[in-house]
Amino acid sequence: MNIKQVDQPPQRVFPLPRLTRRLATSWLLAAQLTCLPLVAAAAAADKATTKPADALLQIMKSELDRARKDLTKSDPAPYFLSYTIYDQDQILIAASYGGLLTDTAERKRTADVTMRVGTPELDNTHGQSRQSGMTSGPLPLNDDSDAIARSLWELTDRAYKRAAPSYLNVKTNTAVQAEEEDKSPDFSKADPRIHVGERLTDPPFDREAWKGEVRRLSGAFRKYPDVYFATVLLQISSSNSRMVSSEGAEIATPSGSARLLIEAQTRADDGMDLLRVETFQAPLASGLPSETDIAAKIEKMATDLKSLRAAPVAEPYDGPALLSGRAAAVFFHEVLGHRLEGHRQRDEEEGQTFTKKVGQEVLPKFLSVMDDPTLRELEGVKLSGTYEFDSEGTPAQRVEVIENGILKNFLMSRMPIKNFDNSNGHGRNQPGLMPTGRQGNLVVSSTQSVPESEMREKLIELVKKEGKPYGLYFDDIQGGFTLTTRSLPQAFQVLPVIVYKVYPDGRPDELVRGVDIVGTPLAALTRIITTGDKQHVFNGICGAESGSVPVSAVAPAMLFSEMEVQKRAHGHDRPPILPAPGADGPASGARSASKAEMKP
Amino acid sequence: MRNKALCLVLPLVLLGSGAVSAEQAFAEMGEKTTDMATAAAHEAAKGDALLESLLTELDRSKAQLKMDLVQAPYYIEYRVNDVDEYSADAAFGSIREGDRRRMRVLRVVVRIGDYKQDSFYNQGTGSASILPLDDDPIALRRQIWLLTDEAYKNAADAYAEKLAALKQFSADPNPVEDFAHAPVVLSVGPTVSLKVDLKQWEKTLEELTSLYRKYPEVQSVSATARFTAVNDYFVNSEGTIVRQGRSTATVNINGSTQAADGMRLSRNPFWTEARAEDLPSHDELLQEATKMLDSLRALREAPIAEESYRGPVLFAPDAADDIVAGLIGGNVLGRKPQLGRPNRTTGAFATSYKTRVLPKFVSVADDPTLKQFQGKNLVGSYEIDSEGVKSQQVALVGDGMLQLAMLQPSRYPGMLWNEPLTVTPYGKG
Repeated sequence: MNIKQVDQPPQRVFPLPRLTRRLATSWLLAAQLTCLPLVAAAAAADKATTKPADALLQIMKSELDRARKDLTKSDPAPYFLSYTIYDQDQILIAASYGGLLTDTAERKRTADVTMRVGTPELDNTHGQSRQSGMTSGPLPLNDDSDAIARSLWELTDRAYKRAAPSYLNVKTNTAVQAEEEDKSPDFSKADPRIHVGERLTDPPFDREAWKGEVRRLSGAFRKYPDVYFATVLLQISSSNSRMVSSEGAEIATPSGSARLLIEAQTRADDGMDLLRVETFQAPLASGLPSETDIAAKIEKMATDLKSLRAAPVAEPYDGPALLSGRAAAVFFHEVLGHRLEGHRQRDEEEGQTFTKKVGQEVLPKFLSVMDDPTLRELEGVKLSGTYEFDSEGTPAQRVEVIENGILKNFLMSRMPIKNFDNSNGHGRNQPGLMPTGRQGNLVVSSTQSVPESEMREKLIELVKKEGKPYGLYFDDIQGGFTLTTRSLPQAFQVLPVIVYKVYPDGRPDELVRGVDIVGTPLAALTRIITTGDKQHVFNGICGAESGSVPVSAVAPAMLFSEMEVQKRAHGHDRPPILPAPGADGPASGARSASKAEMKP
Repeated sequence: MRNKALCLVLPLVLLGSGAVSAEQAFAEMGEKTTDMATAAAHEAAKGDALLESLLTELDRSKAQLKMDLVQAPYYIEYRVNDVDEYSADAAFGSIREGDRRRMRVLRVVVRIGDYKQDSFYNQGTGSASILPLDDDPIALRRQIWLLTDEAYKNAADAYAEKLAALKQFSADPNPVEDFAHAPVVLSVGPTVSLKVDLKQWEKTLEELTSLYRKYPEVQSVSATARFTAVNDYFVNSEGTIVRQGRSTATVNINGSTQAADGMRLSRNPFWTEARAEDLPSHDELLQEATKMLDSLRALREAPIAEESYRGPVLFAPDAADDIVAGLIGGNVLGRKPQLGRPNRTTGAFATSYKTRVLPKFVSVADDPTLKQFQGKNLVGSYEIDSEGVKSQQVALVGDGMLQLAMLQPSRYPGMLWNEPLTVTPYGKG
């Protein structure tokens, strides 16, 4: 997979016939698994002395021991085996225009068996065979040791039958093909950790009350006949993942997340669909903003859409541009973050933009970038890319990837690359996929900043200096994507939703629509002139080879000397022909008004 | 074994001899009776917010839906499956998954053109989406409105594409009309709801799958149960209004193992019934599961058939109906052939009209009106199909000859047999 997206998860088959695409997307997003550790205590500095008292962990351990002993006799024999069991509870409530669309609660337990056959220098997961190291399946929900042991045994058997032939293939291929440039081993050494995180006792989730709130919130859109699609979706997940490995790791990390997603869409007369998305995120439902605050955001979304519908379409442009903190954060996630993921530095299909730039200047000197999954909160916002241990059982670490513009490090899983032998706690995956180096909380900081309120003035100065008719201000974005392989251009695209033309002659800023930011990484990163003095957070879901994982990107507002925008592709269907139901009759209009003021 | 016979979705009934008269008495309804019946149906719809919302939007679309330079629709239909479903899955004596879900799925078909030649082609075959679960008229109507709009625009595109595609063919490329006239059906039946002791069933599944302890040589034992209660709604611009409930209950036991030589062996008995009460009892299921596991154990020890065999075979009754259904079932479905083909239908019987397809002593009919057969409830029976047409007995093969006598209109006139388009949210049933 070459395309990484923020806030736009990969397609998943939904068992319904041809849903309207819009609706399907909101489902997909909802179906994402987001896990944010809610363990406040349990300091990451755990010692190998903590005694686990978790029944399931014990069952996993004894079954793993048995399997390991049995499989040592086989030829070829595995040198590494691990079990990860995910317990996932998920509640999903969605509503549209005041009516409940979905109300489900799901409990799932699945197991991932990771098996490595061969040696750490060369094993079955080498190169394109990476996924052969992972086999998954469902598990019984109760802690019946016989049933769990039996299921794990069956999965282990399947895992071996997959890994062993793959190893033989890898050996043959390595012999036949030209020598690889990066001769690093396939699996790095690691200190096995023992850690059992404590589960916070969640206050009971009041499903009925939340159903009412989600209904009411979605009902607010009834006042806006031009908002053709609108859904409010609440996803509450609580999960516990337990991992044991043949190296001796024993890790249990409970986590939880509450995510409220509001999507609203309208269509301009030229057929362009205009979308606004707002997300709120917290470890528990009780941490979400109050209904009044969310309702205010909804009003803002609806009025934004109204203005956007009337806004003119912007023309392609190349010139000074100002990115808000959230826009800059997504920009860095796509342009820089994905290119610093460790495994991309040895995969010969990859563009390897930064592979050989370690120690060199890749950003203006006043900028530093780190990825810190141990950070829980910034500027009062909970970060969604927080975790204690990565999927390979490595403790999360703060990694300074770029210091004062100089490239220092990469985001590493246990797949070594040249000059970087060990994991730094960034091996992440969604259940069922092999982990790779991924971002957690990517934080951009700056030593050359001006108060945020002066950024617009700086933009105008620059526009005047360059003799341009206007500059662009990107206020909010919905996400972005980038291509990192060699076979395609090293391009990125950021999808802004609220863009203003800023004129140097004192005219008020003009809202425009229908442009995307485009460019290539090396050129774009060197054009940053100055930044704002406040950091902003973008919480989203990031999709790549190892699946969808929750991430945060944090950055200050940034002024670019040059930024290119292109016209956005869009559909040409007309807006709906008939007026919205309720918008044409007095009876229903009155009804929606009364519904909207229903508040506890 | 009833499980085998019931793996058919269609109740195919074998008749010893003599074709069933295909003549169906459908009383021509006079204008006046229709009006009265419509009024009665509207009256019966009162209090059912979903049905009322469907009718309101249908009226609105019928009266006003029209784009510049595009014809207004000549036909609009709404179909809703209001599904309440519970499914559970157990393995090795414990539940792996237990899910209850409710959903409403709306499908909208808008046709432009006329009965002879219309837009039912490619993207013009309808749009689907989920509907709110709450009986809130505005929330319901908003989704219906959006989907109707989408279906109409798709129909417009499809119609233009189809007319262009037809230009490739000379001489009447579309010999059969696209859409058949059908009498208006007004039937607002009672709704059904899911009434099953789910906890009890979870326990049964756990007990069935804990049998694995007695069979160490069997590698995997699992079982699933699924209960659905579906209320189907159908309204169209011709005036048909239908509401009918249906339910299904299914149990499935699965065992698998490997023989010493590595051959994978598995057995998978299952039961489908219209009512949960008709499923085998707890004790019967335990017996069946034991029987299945015993047979797996025996299969594991059984020698491999060394030679291929060619010669007389006797099929037991439960195997014979499978064979007949497999050979005939799919081929008697009235499916419209590709554009430009002169055939009436597709499949192995496409050119077999009034020719011998079976031995003289065999006749086949499809009869969804049959509720019971030899004292057993049939899951494939229904009163009104998914296109709002009354179900009827159809003679398919009479004395070995494929019959095409279709006296009653069906929605696709080329049909040999009015396919029960029983649409579940997962596709065609």
